[in-house]
Amino acid sequence: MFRSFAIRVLSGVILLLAVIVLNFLLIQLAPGDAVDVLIADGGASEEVIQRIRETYGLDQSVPTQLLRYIAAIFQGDLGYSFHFNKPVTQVILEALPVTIMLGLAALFISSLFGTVLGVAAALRPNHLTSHLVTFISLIGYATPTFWFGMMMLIAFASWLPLFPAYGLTSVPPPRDFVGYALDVSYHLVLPAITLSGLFLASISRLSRASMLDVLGADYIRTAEAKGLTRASVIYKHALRNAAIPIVTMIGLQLGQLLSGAVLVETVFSLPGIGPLLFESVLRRDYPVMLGILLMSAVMVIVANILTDLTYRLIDPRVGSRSNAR
Amino acid sequence: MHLKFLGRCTQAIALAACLTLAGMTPTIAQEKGGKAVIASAKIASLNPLHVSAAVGLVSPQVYGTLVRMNDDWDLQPNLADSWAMGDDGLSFTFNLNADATFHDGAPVTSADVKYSLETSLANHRFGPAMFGAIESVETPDPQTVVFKLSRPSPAILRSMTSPRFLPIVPKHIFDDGQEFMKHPRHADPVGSGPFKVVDNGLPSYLVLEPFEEWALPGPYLDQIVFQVIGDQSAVRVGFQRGEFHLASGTALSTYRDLENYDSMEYVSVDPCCEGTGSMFAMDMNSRRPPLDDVRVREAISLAINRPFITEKLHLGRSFVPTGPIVASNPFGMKDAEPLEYDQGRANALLDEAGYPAGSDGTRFELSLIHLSIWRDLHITVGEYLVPQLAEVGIKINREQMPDTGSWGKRVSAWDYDLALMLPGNFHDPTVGVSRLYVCDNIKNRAYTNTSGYCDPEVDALFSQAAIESDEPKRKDLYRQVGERIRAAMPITWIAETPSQMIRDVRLQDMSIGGWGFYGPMDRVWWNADATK
Repeated sequence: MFRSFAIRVLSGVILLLAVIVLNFLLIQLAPGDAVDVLIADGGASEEVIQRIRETYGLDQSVPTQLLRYIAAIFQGDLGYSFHFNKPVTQVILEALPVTIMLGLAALFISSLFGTVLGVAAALRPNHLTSHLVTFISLIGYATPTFWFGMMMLIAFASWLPLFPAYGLTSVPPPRDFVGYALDVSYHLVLPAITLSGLFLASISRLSRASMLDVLGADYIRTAEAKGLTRASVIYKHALRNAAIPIVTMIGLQLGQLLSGAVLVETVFSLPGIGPLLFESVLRRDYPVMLGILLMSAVMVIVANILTDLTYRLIDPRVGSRSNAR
Repeated sequence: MHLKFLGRCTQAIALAACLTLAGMTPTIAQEKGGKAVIASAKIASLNPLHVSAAVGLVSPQVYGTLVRMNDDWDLQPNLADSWAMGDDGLSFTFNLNADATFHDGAPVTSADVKYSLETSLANHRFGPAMFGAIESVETPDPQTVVFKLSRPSPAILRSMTSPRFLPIVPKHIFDDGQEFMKHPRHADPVGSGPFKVVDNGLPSYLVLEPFEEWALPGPYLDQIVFQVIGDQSAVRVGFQRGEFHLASGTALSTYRDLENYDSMEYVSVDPCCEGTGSMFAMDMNSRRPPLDDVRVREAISLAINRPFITEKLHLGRSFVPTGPIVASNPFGMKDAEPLEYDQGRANALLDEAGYPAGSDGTRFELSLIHLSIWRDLHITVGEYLVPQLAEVGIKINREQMPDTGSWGKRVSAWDYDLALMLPGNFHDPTVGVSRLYVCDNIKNRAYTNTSGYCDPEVDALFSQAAIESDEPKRKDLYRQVGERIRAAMPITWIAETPSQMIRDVRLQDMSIGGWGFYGPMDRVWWNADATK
């Protein structure tokens, strides 16, 4: 158990190093650096350009810049953002909590409702409920996130002004913790529902299929034959076995959250990682961009390790020596 | 003299009288109170020298300038009570307002002004273009600053009217050996302007409140809130709900979106901010045939139906240009004929230049590169130019660049026939206009003279105008150079595209021309009874 965990962590570190080098080199392929973008955005005097390049080390060769970057990362320094006049770590840390809160809220909504809907559909596969779930999840799957977001905005912020249309908090935000938490939750309702839309669809589809599969298994018939209650059969025997692919799915989607966050955070004006990444690419703000990519790589690796650990909780057979592949 | 008097006016009732005495005529007396919420694009930093337009809306509230500019482009006192140019045009002397202080209570002194100028000169993208003529700064006493010039430079005064160019920053905070552009105190600024930062909630929001010791009348508003918004529908919803009072219409919207504001009870959308002088133009690479022939360049200009662009595509919110300088600039050619649209003459010129139409009606092909931002400028006009120029037999191969960096790379390499661009004129032609036309600025860099056009006569006129201190004479020189460039047409100007100000009309005495929302809001007040 410990050994396999250590191997996961070690391979994760090697993967990270590869991510850093690859990302850095890939970015060099894009035309222009941050200063070129500054110039293309309205011009600048030659003397000033020279000064900026020197200040931010952009006048160095690519290998030198890469080595400096890696050396800095090992000292816990992600670099300095020319655009924000701030260390990259600070820029990312300001944005990260927003995305994490939004992501977790969306993941919670989609996992809970997705599983419930999927299980409900699987229990009566030819009933109207099942068709309705299929219908809803297909619509959810096919709807572009930004469009869904805008519709939510127009419906529940403008036409029926129940929820705020923008921002993470009221201005100024409440000073006490409970008030602040409530305020943030209120602001996150529409964005979280929007972001959960896409995942809800895939999770409900998957849990329906997985549940149907399990319900046809012999041991379910055995459990029913033993005279167990229906609820006990479904939740203890069937759902627990059907949960493995669902958990895998949720784990995978943790990594996808970032791409969804770009759109949702833009539509709802949330100061999160998504728009920050997108705009940093356009601005050629390499330090910020590399920092975010590095951080999301870390997040995906951690999510995978957590998913692995979760398997063990759900299914004790996973990871035990006798069943090692 | 009377201006000093104006600075002493504090009583609200006496104010109207004071202003009248000072030569201004307010319609109604300003009332104190009210809050303005500005829907802002991302505010990256509170460093006043940051280039982004969103920061440009904040800086004028937080940082003061020596002088200010009104909507008629006239200079007015601000942190300086009075100023004078030396007889030879080689010096400017400013007398600072004795009551002017920074937000931490320290007085604004000549040493701060000197430090501010050096900071801007070294770090501002136009530093050398604006203040390069300043040889030395003398500070005979804390209230007096003398700028010594190596050559006359009348443009300097207006360059000092915006904190986006010359903010007066506190030397005692910033001059501690750290780089100004990286200084940590930008997060917690000690400003010199009418409002101070009380709650820096960036990247989400920013709250400003009046600086009580502001040496001039106002501010009247109790609070200014910058709410950062990433999406245009959220801006619209916010205005609809009455939660926003001010926004820049160009950053996020298309012209069609702006129409949605017309039906809102208190909201008005107006062209604003003449100081930035935004001119949408098409650069023609005059090194490459057939664009090396002036007749071809003129024909291309004649083939563009500009009134269709300004009236139909831009819904009347942009204007047909008359020359290289926008008409709202004091040096613009207001009286000249707008650029013409004449397909017949375009065809005749192309025939005459030796480019007859082939069997398929095509004379030649040209590449056109443009950006994918500012939708209604680059994309809409770029798409429109293809069929428009096909009508005179020019086949356009349109390439939409994915981002600013890619566009910049192509423009810097002169790797295009035609390129759409949005050069700002800014407040003075020495900053935003001559750079595009003079021979010694033919550089591998965007927003230099990338067309490769060179006419020594044009250079001579521009350098003469740059040092001419007499404004009418200066105007005449810019008219002459404008006509000369218009005849040679290395760049063809497509539309004057001023920024659009979305504003709650209850915000009274908002500057709309001049610097518009890029200027201080100390005189703005809330009038609940005002209507559209």
